[in-house]
Amino acid sequence: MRLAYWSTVLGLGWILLAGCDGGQREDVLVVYSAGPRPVAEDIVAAFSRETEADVELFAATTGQVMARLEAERYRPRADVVIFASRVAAEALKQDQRLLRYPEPSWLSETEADWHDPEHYYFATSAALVGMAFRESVYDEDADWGRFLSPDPGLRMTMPSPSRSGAAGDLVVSLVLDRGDAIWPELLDARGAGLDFAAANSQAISTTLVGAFDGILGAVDYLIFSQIADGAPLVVHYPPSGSALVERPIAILASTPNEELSRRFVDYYFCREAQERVAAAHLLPARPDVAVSDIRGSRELPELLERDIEAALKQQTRILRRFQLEVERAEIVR
Amino acid sequence: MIAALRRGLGRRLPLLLCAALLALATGYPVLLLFLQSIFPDILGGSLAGAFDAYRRIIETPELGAMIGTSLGWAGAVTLVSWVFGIPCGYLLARTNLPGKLWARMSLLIPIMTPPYILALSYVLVMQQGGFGDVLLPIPNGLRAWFFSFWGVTVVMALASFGYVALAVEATLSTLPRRLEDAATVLGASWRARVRHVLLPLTVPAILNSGLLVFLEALSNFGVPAVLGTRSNLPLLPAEIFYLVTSWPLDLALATSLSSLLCLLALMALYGKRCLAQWMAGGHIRPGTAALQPLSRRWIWLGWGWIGGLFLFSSVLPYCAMVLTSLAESWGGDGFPPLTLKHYVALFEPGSRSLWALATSLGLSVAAATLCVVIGGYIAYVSVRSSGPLRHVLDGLATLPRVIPKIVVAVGLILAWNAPWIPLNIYNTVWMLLLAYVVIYITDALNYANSTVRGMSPNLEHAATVLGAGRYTVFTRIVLPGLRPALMAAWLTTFIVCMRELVASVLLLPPGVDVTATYIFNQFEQGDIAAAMAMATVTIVISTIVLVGFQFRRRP
Repeated sequence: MRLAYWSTVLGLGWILLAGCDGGQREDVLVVYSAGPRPVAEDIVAAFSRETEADVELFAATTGQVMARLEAERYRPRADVVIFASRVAAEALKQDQRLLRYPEPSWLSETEADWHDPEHYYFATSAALVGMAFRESVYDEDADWGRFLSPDPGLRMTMPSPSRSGAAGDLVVSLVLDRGDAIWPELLDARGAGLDFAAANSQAISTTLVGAFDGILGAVDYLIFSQIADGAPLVVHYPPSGSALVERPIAILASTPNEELSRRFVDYYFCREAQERVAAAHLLPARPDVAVSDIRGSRELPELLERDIEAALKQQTRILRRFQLEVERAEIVR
Repeated sequence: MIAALRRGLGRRLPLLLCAALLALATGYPVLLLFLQSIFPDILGGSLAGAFDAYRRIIETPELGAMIGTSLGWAGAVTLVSWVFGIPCGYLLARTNLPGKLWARMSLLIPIMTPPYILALSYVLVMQQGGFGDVLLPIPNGLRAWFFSFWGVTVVMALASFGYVALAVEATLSTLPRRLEDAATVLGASWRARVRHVLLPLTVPAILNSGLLVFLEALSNFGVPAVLGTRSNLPLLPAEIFYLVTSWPLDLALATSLSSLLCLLALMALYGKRCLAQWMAGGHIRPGTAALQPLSRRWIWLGWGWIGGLFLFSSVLPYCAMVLTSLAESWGGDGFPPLTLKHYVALFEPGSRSLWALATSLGLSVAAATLCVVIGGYIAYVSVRSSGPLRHVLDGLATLPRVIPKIVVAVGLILAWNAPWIPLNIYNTVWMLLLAYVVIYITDALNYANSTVRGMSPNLEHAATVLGAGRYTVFTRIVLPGLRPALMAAWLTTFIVCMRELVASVLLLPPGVDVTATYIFNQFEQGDIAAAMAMATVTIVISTIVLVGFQFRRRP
């Protein structure tokens, strides 16, 4: 009886230990990626086919990826991260949690302006954050000012900046661009019915069912892919400027697999992977890879002023203030 | 001397083992949470910035207002649940209302429904372009009212008034009629009888069920996350969730808000105890209550009340849920054509949804079994021993019942992700199993506790005298005796684990889903048909298991 007891205990213990593979292992590459899951899944699958390396992928929003990195601060697990926000990558760089990749072979073949000048992170692609409207209510001259007023005339939604990295970058850009005067305007917009969706996809789906007329802070490639499926939407870049949002890839300083991580980064910039990125209607980092038909051209519209240093310094304050004062504001309607 | 010490230790070993287990599973995470809320950088080995997060709570008026809103909302939910539930309890216990069995069933269904599914269904009904708009246009005033403080309150109350009704019924039906008769003989009117006799005698039951509802509302995550965010109603659990999972992340603020939430829950518990002591109306001998005959009009009114509540707490949300899962597409004009394609997609081999379902089933079975075995053993050890350690054990075991689940979950993240933990349990499915067991072991303990108390220790003594070891005594004598209670505990734990949302959403490793997180995520992503198909399947599975057990118990 005693033997049976101890063997049960040992058996359970063994199962428990065998099931725990949460640590960093040298033969597995752990990738955390924000943004379109299918693209990340395809590229990871192609990479592991090519190199026969095991890759574990966690695909989520930029916010969730950052939260996970923060929770794992003292027990790091990821090797490579991909964000949908340059500010997020810059934050990790300033925290000295990224590993420098000095001279990748493909550097000259990609958009140099999009990368970190010190080569801690590299933009795999970029997207523009502007507006989107349902075709029936589209107004070609729509600008930010109209929707930051008490009477926009249209019912708009916006992905929550704490969930969507792109919307977060846009809010920070707008606040830096317009200064503190924007806060009462944002509250006006909120009072006029501006709604906050959980993430980009929710903003899009609620607009498609007709609950809203358009999306502020719409990420263009997501709208393009809806248009490709026949959705009656239009992407609009407001005259006073849109935000360019790069999607940087970086290697974490804590990685035990520097070699494999670099190979993964290299792979992300090869022609095949970049074509996969372009097929998702993103702007590929390689100018020699054609953009999707629906996007049409590489030409960039007017961009909002941007200062990465200032954005990083103020973004926590701006986003928290936005969350508390605008998003969660009690509006009497 | 040493032999005596060893003997003493040997005798105390089970108790010590249980206490150590509970301290590690519950005490350690909660303690670490409190410490982290005070010293934000304690996991990095520094005591810098003490009380920084609390200072920020005091300095940010929005946070103070949010705490107030949370308390006010939980109080409002309790009040509305009382209004809904007390008449139901009275009708069931004290009147000759026909069809009581059905009425009781109608109360059980909303109790069985996870509040977040109720909330999601109501969003489907009430949102612009939603169900209500397709069938009949919903006036904007009603919509605005629904997506506000009171609308969210009513939804939560619809999910919880059943507890109040059943508790009040249980108390009222054992109150003997003598006191009321005495009052009637002395010339008291119906109103005076209710005020001076019935109400004081039922106050403990009302307060107890009210506390249950209050604590559930204060710590519920699903309804605030689904409806609160859509109604500009910032509530603590949802805010804590966003602080832990989204950017900019603020663990210090999350842990300090969690600690405050925990403190509020404990204060509510203590406050209720004082209030109950002050108001309790002495002891009464239980007897059978006489029934008040109802006139035809009152029967109609009574059934109208119960039926109306059933309509809004079950029929309407379930219809919305099932119809959405069957609808071909969403948002068109008129009634959409029906299809089974969402269910086909749900059960497609290798799909995320099927994995989520399998993970949930596996985890729930494992967690329920572990809870029952460990809980049964701890209850046995605790009842059969004495001394101060036993009180520590009891206290530790009831801790997760009082402490909000989200707080336990945040504590578990800190505890098992700390740099000094040698096991890599964080980021694995085992973490969730641990969380389920920690959170739900109290149910198994309570079931087992009352049964063990009723069992005579004579059989165990006899077995020991005949040379049986501790293990044999437990498995051959105690466990069979506990079986009915443990079966009931297993069933309850299985069902609550199948629908558990907040611990799952916080603790699941990358790329793994359980049914609740699948439903929640698909809804957030806008794929409501898939979410509702999964919700329907989960509820059907729970119901099948429940009914299966009922039939096995009565062969």
